[in-house]
Amino acid sequence: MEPIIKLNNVSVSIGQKKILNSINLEIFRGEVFGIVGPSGHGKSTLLRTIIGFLKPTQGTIRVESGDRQLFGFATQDNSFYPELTVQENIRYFGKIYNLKDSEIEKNMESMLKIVQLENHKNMLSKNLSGGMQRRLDIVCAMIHNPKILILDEPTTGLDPMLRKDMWHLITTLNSIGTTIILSSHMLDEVELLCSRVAILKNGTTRYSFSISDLKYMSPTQEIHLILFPGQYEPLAEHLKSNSIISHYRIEKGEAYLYTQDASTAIYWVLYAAKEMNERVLDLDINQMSLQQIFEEVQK
Amino acid sequence: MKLLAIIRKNITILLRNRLSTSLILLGPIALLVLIGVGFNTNSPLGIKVGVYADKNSEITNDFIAKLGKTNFTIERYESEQKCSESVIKGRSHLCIAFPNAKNGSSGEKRQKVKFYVDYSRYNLVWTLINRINQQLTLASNEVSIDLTDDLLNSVKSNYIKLQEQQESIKSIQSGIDSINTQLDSLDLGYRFNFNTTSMDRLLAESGNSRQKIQNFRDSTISDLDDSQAKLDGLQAQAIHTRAMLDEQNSKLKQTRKVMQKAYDTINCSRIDHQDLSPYIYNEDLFFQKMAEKNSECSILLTTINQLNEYIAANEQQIQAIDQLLEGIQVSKAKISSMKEKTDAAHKDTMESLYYADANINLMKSQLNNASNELSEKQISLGTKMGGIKSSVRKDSELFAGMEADIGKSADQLRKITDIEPSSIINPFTTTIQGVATERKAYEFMIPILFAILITFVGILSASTLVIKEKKSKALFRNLISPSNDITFIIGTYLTCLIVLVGQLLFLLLIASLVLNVSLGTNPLNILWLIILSCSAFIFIGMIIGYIFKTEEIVVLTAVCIIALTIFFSGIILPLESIKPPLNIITSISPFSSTSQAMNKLMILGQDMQAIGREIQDLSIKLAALAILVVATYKIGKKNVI
Repeated sequence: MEPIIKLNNVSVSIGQKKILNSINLEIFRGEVFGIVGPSGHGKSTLLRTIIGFLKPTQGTIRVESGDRQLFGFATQDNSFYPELTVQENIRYFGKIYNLKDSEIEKNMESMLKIVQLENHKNMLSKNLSGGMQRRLDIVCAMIHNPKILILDEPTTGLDPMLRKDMWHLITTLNSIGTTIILSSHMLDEVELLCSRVAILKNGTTRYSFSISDLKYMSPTQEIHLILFPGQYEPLAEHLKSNSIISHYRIEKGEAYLYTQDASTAIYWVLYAAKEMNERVLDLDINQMSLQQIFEEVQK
Repeated sequence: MKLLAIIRKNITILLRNRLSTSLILLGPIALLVLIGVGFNTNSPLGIKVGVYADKNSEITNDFIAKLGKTNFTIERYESEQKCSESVIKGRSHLCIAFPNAKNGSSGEKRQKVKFYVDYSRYNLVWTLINRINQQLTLASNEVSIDLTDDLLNSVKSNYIKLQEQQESIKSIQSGIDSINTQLDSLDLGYRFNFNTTSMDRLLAESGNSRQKIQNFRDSTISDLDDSQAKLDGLQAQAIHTRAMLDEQNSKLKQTRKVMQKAYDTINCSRIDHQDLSPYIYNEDLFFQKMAEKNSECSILLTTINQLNEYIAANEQQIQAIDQLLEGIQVSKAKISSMKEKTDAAHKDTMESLYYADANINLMKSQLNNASNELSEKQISLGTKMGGIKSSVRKDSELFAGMEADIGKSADQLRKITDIEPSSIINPFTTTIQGVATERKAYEFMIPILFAILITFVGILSASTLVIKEKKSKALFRNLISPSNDITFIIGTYLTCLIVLVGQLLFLLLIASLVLNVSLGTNPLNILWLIILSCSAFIFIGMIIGYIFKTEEIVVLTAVCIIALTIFFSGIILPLESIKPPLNIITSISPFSSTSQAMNKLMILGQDMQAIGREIQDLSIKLAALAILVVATYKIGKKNVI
């Protein structure tokens, strides 16, 4: 399959500082591609280079079409005018992207429906909630029907509910055929949404793999457990002696249990807690593999 | 369409900000109203003038009374020091210290009136001094009138004396004119021209005669030569004929000799019978022989006779030829003699003719020399006469000039004597006539006010709009859109221009309808000027916005630029008092061009042609600023990246 975007040994310098160094990436049509990495390690620069806003100092970027209309870009800071209403913003950016009035109206209607802002189109943008503003930003990025949507930290600053809404929106946009490239430092989000992922450190890609490969790469899963009254150690030792978990750690009155198969271990954890008269207040299963890889990368 | 969207977006954002909207729309109106109300008069209300003067001086008292009538508030002080201190303490705007009464009336010494002023109140000082000087001049004039009257009497007596001198000069001039006329009548124009034509004709005839004589001599000599040649031929022929005759005669004589011999031989004179003896015996034969001998002797004798005749004839011919030869010789001698005589005569004649020619030429030359000498003498005389005439004419003109000057002087003196002493004190009565029709004070301020508004709003609105856009999170989306940089630059410029021009037109409408301010002969000219001026200041604002990164620095810079522009505009200080190189700021700033052009259009009522220089100046600055706008935008964009 021919990639829609291919970066070949791309380096970018701003002034004397080298931000990206020999990046090699392939992004395919219809996928959700994640770029993860710590803050300040070149995620935004990489995205800006992909859309052609920054010119590579070395290497080549091949995109399916050189047209800027190919890309939609949603920044982490909401790139629209807060003093304009929702539809004024959308109409303005539609014009800037050379759309006709009829196209703008048509696209606006459908996009507002997708992001569920159709009832707020006359509101001033600054009066929208954080999630709505993020969705408006995506509408502004999508008004010209780009084939590729780039989302730079799309859920930063959103509460869990809004994050889920955003994930849903991303999935929906992907389902209508839009290739999505998102950058995030939230690994759960990337794991959930992305079919493939690249990890960036010090301006270079350290890993690039598909999420399905994670199972082979991940040594363990994490069960996050909060109990009352919280006698974690006997419970954990019991589970460990029965080889339900491989190891554990207890921090600030919460326990983190590590296992190869969390879906099976969870029953044993609940059973043991009941036996020890402990009430389960919270229980989460975290795919820790990406996290561990990420941590590994940081080391 | 993109531009429209950008402008619509900018104006919508501007209008949604109530504070900026009210500042932009209401600020200038408030300013206009305040100026309209505050400067609706041109009288010096509330200006206090401190006076120190001797109370006994009538002139001073009269002057102070007049000053009081011109709306100045007069305060008298006991001493000059207190009066000057009142200015320092701010109780008076100006202090006037008059000289003492006894000195002031003497008229012998020029008296000084002192003004104590506070130069820190720059504009006020000169206005006050001018106004009070007017009043002071009136008072001092009255003192001068008496002195002037005396002066006029003296002038009258001088006028009479001058008239007498003028008459004397007139009579002298008349005498000189008479001499001049006589000199003019002298004719020195006669030309000495001796006629040498007859001599030339004589010379020509002599030449012709010489030619004829030469021709005659040549033809005569030629004819004589021909004759001589013919005689030579004849002589040769005669000699030849004589030689032939001699030869023939000789031959004839020889033949005769032979014949004689034969005759003798035959012995015809006797008969020799012996010869016939053989034949005696034959008679017949004898006789026959006898007959034959007789016949031969007869023939010989006949022949000899004939030969003698021939010889005699030949000798006669030879004799004739000899005579002919002698004749020829004589003729040739005569011809030679004729030739010699002809040559001698020719030579003598030619020499005589040449001698005559030489004499004629000598005479002619002497005549010409005499003529030239006379002409030179005549020219020299003419030159000398010209000099004399010129001198006489100059003298005449000098006297005429003197007479005219004296006449003029007398006339001027007469005129002076006709003038009233008060007119001499004030030869010019001043009436201040403005080049524009008289208006209220605020009307004259309108062009400056508009220039200030354009400067303020243009720079501030453009710089604010640009920095707001730069700080806007939406900037990134604009930059990654498929719209080029120029579109956004023009969008920003047009937004500011629409707001500013709209605002100014609104103010012009109010000024025209409510305050009756004139909009010049063609309001469209003002519109063009406003667009040009606004563009220049908008560009300056945009440059500031693109260069700096924070809103605070942009506003501060904009205010500094505005302050500099106004400070070096001639509003606060006269432009002429700004020294180089600081006056470069004035020439760089578009403010002076704007205010001057506004003044010409609105106050002086001139047309676009009159503001051509200002329009050209603004256009050049506009082009330079436009280039700077694009350059700073590009630099600013790099900083965003």
